[in-house]
Order: sequence, then C-alpha cells, then structure tokens
Amino acid sequence: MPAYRSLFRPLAATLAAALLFTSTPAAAAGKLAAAPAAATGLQVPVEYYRLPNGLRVVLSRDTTLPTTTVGVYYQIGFRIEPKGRTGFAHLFEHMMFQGTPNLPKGGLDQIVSGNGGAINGSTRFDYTNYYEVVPAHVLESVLWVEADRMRGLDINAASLANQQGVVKNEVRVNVLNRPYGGFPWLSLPQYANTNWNNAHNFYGDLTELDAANLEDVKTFFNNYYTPSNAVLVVAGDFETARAKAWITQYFGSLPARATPERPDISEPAQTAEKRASYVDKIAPRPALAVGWHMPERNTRDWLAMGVVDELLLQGDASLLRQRLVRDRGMSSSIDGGVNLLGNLYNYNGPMLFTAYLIHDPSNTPDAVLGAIDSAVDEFKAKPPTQEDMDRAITTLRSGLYDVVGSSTRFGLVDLLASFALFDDDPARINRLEAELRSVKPEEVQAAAQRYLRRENRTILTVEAGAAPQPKATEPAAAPTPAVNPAAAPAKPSTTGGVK
Amino acid sequence: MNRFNHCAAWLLVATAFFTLPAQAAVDLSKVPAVGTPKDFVLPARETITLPNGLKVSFIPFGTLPKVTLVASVRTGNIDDGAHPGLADITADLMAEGAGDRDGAALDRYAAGMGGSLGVGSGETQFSVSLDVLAERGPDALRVIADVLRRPKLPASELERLRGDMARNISIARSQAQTQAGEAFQSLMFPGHPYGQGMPSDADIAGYTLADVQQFVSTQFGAARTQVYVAGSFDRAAMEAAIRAAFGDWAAGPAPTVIPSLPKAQLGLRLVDRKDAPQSTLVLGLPVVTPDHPDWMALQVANSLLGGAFFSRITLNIREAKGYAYSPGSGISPRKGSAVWAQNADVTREETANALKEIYHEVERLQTEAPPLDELQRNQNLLVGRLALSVSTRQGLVGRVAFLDQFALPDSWLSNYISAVRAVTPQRLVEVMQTHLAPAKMSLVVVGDLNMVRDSVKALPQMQTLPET
Repeated sequence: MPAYRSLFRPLAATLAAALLFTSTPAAAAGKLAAAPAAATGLQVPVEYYRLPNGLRVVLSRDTTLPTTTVGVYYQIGFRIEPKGRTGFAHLFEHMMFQGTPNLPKGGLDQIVSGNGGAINGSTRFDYTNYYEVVPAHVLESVLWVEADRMRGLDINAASLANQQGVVKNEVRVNVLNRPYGGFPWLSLPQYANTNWNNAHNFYGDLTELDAANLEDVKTFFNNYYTPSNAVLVVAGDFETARAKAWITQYFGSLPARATPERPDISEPAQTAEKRASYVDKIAPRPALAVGWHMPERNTRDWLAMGVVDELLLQGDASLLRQRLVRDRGMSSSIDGGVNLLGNLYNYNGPMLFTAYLIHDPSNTPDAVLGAIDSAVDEFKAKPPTQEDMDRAITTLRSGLYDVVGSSTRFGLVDLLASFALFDDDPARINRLEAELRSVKPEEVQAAAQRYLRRENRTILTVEAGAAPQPKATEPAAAPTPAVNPAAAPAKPSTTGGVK
Repeated sequence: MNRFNHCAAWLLVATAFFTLPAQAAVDLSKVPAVGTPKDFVLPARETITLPNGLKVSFIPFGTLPKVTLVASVRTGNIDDGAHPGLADITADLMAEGAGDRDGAALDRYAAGMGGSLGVGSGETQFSVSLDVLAERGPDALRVIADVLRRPKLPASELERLRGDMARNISIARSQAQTQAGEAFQSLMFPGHPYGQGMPSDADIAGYTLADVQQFVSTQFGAARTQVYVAGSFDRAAMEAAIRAAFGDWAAGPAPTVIPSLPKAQLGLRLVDRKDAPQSTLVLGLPVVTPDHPDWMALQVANSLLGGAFFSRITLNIREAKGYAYSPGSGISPRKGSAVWAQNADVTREETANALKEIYHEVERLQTEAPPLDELQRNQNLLVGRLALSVSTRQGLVGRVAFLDQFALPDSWLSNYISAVRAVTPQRLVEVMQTHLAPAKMSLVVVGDLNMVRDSVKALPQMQTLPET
C-alpha cells in the first residue's frame, strides 16, 4: 500500500523533536548566563576562527566515515527580503546554482554529485544555506566551488527567467496544487505577526516572483553574500592543516566587504487572541493550528519552552498527542513545535510555538480547540515530574547522537553554523545536555503559564473546500480584525525549498 | 581581534607546511582536481537461525551508543484477503498495547529508551522497529517480541483507528501525486494485490476485531521472521535476549506465495483534476528485478536518464525549460516485479511540451551512446550514494533487508559497485533498448483535462497508446 501514514508532516521536524535547550542558571526570563563546560553528554570537536575578511570558520573533524560535509550559511533569511519582492531570498538561493564566471551552470552539481556526493540549499527565517556531502577526496574542489560563488555569479536573463519558472512550479507543487499547502508553516505567521518582516508571504506571490530583475539579483548578492555575513563549516573526514590551508587559499583571497545593516524585525507584544480562517478548495477535511509567540531566544523562558515543547507536543508520549489522539480520537497525529522550518536553535528573531492537526468535520473547531486548551491547562497545573524531565533528557541525548552520527552530517553542520552565526559560539553544541539538565520543573511550568496564554496566541482554521459530504461544522470564526484577510493570500506560500 | 590575530599567525604555519604555490601564482578560476578516493568498506553481518526458523542478523556499526532493532515478518497487504488494508489496521492495533503495557505505557516506555515504536505494513513485509540508546537494546527487543507475540488488540481502539485510516486516506487521495500513483499501479498490476491501491471507505468500515485477530493468528510466526540488530550492542546479551524472547515462538506458516503477476496494461490514463495549475505525470513500465544481470546497468541508465539531478530529463524540463520543480525517475522493486517510472509535476500550459521533451530524452538514448564523462558522473553518483546510504544504522538495515527480501547474497552489494563501474556507453544504449523502450511505456496524466487533453492526445506517441 502506498504510504499514507506520514503525509501530514510538512518539513524538517526531525531535529526539532530532539534538539532543544541551552545554557545555565540565571534569573527567570533573564538572559542566559555563559554556560560552564559540560561534564556529561556528547562531545564533538569544534575549532573556530575568523579569516581577516570576516568569514567565520568552524571545523569539526570525525573520521569514522570517509565523507566530508561542507556548509556555507549566509545570514540572510526570507524574513528580511525586500518589500515588493516577496519570495526573493528563496529565488536568489536558486540563482546561486546558476553558474559563475569560472564555472558554467551545471558544473557545480557535476563536481559534487558527479564525484559521488550530494548538494542542496535552503532558505529559512534567518539564513540561507548551501551544503554538500562528498567522499573525503573531493573536499578541496568543494571548498573551491563555495569560495567561487561567494566571489561572484554569472547572472543573466536566461537563467533568471528559467529559475523564476522553476520556483513558480515549486510554489505550485508545494502550495497551490497541494491540499493543506503551506498550512500552517507559511500561512500562520502571516496572521500571527504584525511586522511585515515576519508576516509576509515567504514563498512569494507569483507576480512578485515574476517582477524580480537582474538588478535585484546583483544588489542582493552585493548586500548579503559577503564573507563577514557568512559562516563556513567543514565536518567529517579531513586533515586539519590541509583543510585550513585550502580555506585560506580559496576563501582568504576574497576581499572584505561591508556587513549589511539589519532591519528591525521585532514583533510587538500581542495583547488579544486572534482568529483567522480560510477555505482550502482541495482539502477534504478541516484543519486547525494554534500558534503562541515564543519568549526571546536565549532567555531562561525560551529554554524552558524547549522542554514544554518536548513534553507537550513532541513524540508519541507527549501530552497533547495522548489527549487528542489516543484519548479523544480527533486525529492520528498532532504536530508542530518551535520553528516549523527548523528547530529551537536555528533562527534568530520572533518565533511561534505551533500545534496543528487535521480533524473530522464531526468535531467543530471549537471542540478541537477545547481539547487543546484542556490539555494545555492540565500541563500548566503542575510542574513536570522527574520522570518527565528524565524522558526529555533521554530524548535529547538520543536525538543528538543521531544528528552527529548521520552519514550526511547535515544536522550537525546546521547546529554548528547556527551557533556560530547567531551566538558566535559553535562549541555551544557540547553544552546542550548540561544546559537542559539545568532547567527546573518549576521553570517549565512557569514558562508554560507565561506563554501558553490566550492573549498570546493566534488560531487558524482551514475549511475543507473538498469535503465529501455537507459539512457538520459551524462556520469557522471570523477572521481577526487585526489582519486583513484579503491581504494574505488564500493559501500563503515557501518552504524555502531546495535547489 | 584576538581570533583575527591568532588566525593570521596560523596561516603562516599552514603555508609553510604545505609549501603551497604563492597566492599570486594560483589560478583561482580553475577548479582543483579531485584527489584519490579512499576505499569504502561495506559493514559485514553475521546471521544465525534459531531452531524454530527465526533468523537474526547482527551488524556491528559505528561508534555512537545507539542500536536499531527491526523485526521483519513476511506478510503484509499480500495477505489482506477479502479486506484490502487489513494488514495496515492490524499494524495500527498492534501498537495499542502489548505484554503488560497498554498503548500509552508503550509510548512512554519507548520514549524513555530514547526511541519510538514503529509498527507498519508494506505489500510483502511487515515490520516492528525501535531505535534506542545502546544500553536499552535488550529491553527494546523484548518490547518488539511483545508486540509480535502478545499484542493486546484492544477492541476499544478499533473505531478510532478506522477513523484515522479513513481520514488519512482521504487526505492522501486529495493529492495529485497519490492520484497519479494509484492510477499507474492499476495499469502496471491489473487485478493483482500490488495494483489494488488504498482501501475504500467501505473496506475500512468493514474491518472487525475478528478480522484483525485472525490476521495476527494466521500470518505471524518465527519461520516468517527475521530480526536485524545494527549499531552498538553487546552481542552476547542481545543474542540471549532474542533467544529468550523468541526461542519458544511457533514456527507458524510458510510465507505466502505471491500470486503470479499479470501482464501490465499498456495505455494512457487521463485523470481530471479541475483547475489544477500543474499536471502530474507518470510515464513508465515493468522492468527486471534486482536478481537479473541487467539490474545494475539499468540503475545507471535510470540515473543518467531521469534519476539524478543532472539527468537528461531534469536538465531539460527543469534547468533549460523551467516546466517543473522536482522531476525524477526511479525503479521500485517488489517481489517478482519492478517498475521504472518518470514522475513530474509540470506547468499546466506546458503539459504536452514537457511530455514531448521527456519522450525526446528517452528516445535519444535508444540509439545515441552517452559521452563517457557523463556516464562516469552517474557511476560515481551511484557508488557514492550507496556509501552514504549504508552509513547509518537504518540505511544499513534497509539495504540488508532488501537483499533478504529478494534472496540475494551479501556479495551482491559489493558486486553492485563493480557492476555499476563496468557499464560502457554502448551497454547503456543496449539496456535502454531492452528495458526502457518508449513504445512499451504507459502514461498517466492528472490535471485539468479541459485544458490539457487535446494537446496531450495530439502527441505522436499517443497515436499508438490506447486511452484506457
């Protein structure tokens, strides 16, 4: 039988389930203090330095497999792409695969995949990344390739038009021709947030994708694709001195350029519950999502919310899953977490903690919401037990082993790059377990009480436009007055996709 | 500032070590040549057979303290009988408690070991799996034995699980790719369990507890089961746990004989999806199975034609024309049969043009040998991807279980590398002619037929392909 079990899990949530937390004591809701060296838990080697042109370099050597992984992370996400050019950060990601003055279009993939490796890129809230895993003997070529496209691109009208066509087809296949396309990862932020940077269509309106021109591409590259706005990670099998020499040779020769200014991406505090709804013409069942604004990254409450996520929403044993799936039979799964396009760590700005499910019309949205409220209230009523806390730590450790032991090492590179890019501290990866252990059950309860409040949340319901029978549901609640529903597309858009 | 200085000092050391040419002399516009590949060693396994016929494969791998356990039973939808999907609802109900734990307790226990219980059915394989911290290997093994031998099958959960299945299938069927896939399978396997597709609402409503109990009591047993243990584990402790948990299990029935395969139906199937902005295409045909001597060469042909990102079809309809985002071809082997198919979701207005280009690439390779460097890139890709795929516990188990499913020797995997490397440009053309002839391919188009039917039907290849 073709797979129909795993269809409703949008994107990379594998890391999110396991990877949470950071740091040590500090006042509740205060900033995290610098954490002490971890006494327990997994340790991966981390060497970190900066080239004269500002490029940050992270090396993590591990020779258990004869492969090497390279990641180049630029601190430019779809959040801060230009107004009037929604979807541009992602379109630009595609342009990074269209050739340079030294390597024609297609050459990149020939070098990487043609030598037995794999290559991809993705666009997220606060970064765009490019990454390769190759047999170890191909490392030098890959370093050359990444330095070469950081040096400059061969931008031309033909390749731009081609990739506009490709990206529009990406939006069609992932959003427009897909039931629940963009729900809720793309749609919910558009209702929950008020700052344009956090609330626009990250995949891009098709007309704005069409409007992009060569000048836009050139400007974007000049502004954001600079050595000082990037991190290079090399993980896996390499000789350290030799790798460093190549990095110096290929990246060290890039001229230093100005680091871009950052727009204000702050999100004003929400003071009243919001509700929104739209009809998905091809969805056969209704769906519901709830998004709560997260505490600021790197605060004690943020860390505690990582534990809340694990115990409330991640995995078969989580409370929401037990109550809604097993006890009430409302759906086969309830999904979500912190940062639906990544995990607790790999973003740097306002973020939602989201829970969502597809349900039957026999349950009204209010009935589903009532069940969620009841489970959340149960969670907030008392601190987690020691058994719960132990389970969260075990899950973290087990997941972290898999991230480090993955044959592609993409997850490992992502964590190292994120901690370098956002915290200037890639060695933070080695403190995750100790930091988790520092969270007290009372802090978990307090964070849940502070953030899982009605005034802090947005509820999004999807009406099933392709329901087989007349619907038994009440009409969904009216769209929130805080958001003009017409301003948001019927089905918003991006996975910050692939290539 | 500190890092900066430290780094600058280090640079001098590095250049001294390697006596790299002076910066000015290096031509940074030239790609450096790749080095020499390191040897890639496939992890080995040891297999034992218990007196009741249960097989166990031990595969030590890696250094991280985790272990993957999979019990694979030779049953599945092939044994659904009069109830399509019965194997699936059985899997769902088996996860709802076993031994002395109810479903919620199982969930908590698995999470406490750092894992999550998986119970699922395919067409000919049914699996129960857990991936846990290494020191919990024997505990996890006992959970797997409980699920297989002592499932609670609680009547109270059946209605909920039927509802979940009906909902999930309705969602799956609303997806263009699922619609295309079901139509294509029905052409490839008319009247056969492989072509039956997902159960209907009536099928689902018809499952009873007695049906599930019957499936469990008649389809499971030691002689149908193979256990895989991969990762870090104490060999003696794991073997002792396995003998204790499974040693007294009845051998049970012999595996079901797969009904002989029907002849595939050659034809064009048009499925209407009103207002769809894309057309979802599947073009393909039955091919040989992994035990056939042409299998490896067929893999190379597939990679070059449509499987790789730098394949001809992808470079054409994506990187030259922009008609699609992630087109791709692949070969899906089943017991007794394999199917090659090219999939693509293409711009509605370019449906016929995209098909024209896909056919063009298939046809071109029937006669025109590919350049050697293009062939070699695809060979490297296949070998490299094999290395990556067997470099995780789950990937390793998957590959080894594949060998067992098709009764292939372990040497098949190492032969794979040399056989892939041995394919010549001319051999690839022969394989194309023998196995991937365009006139033998069936086609499914799911899209807005008012918009695309006429132009598709006007394609020259459609003149000999009957609409079915």
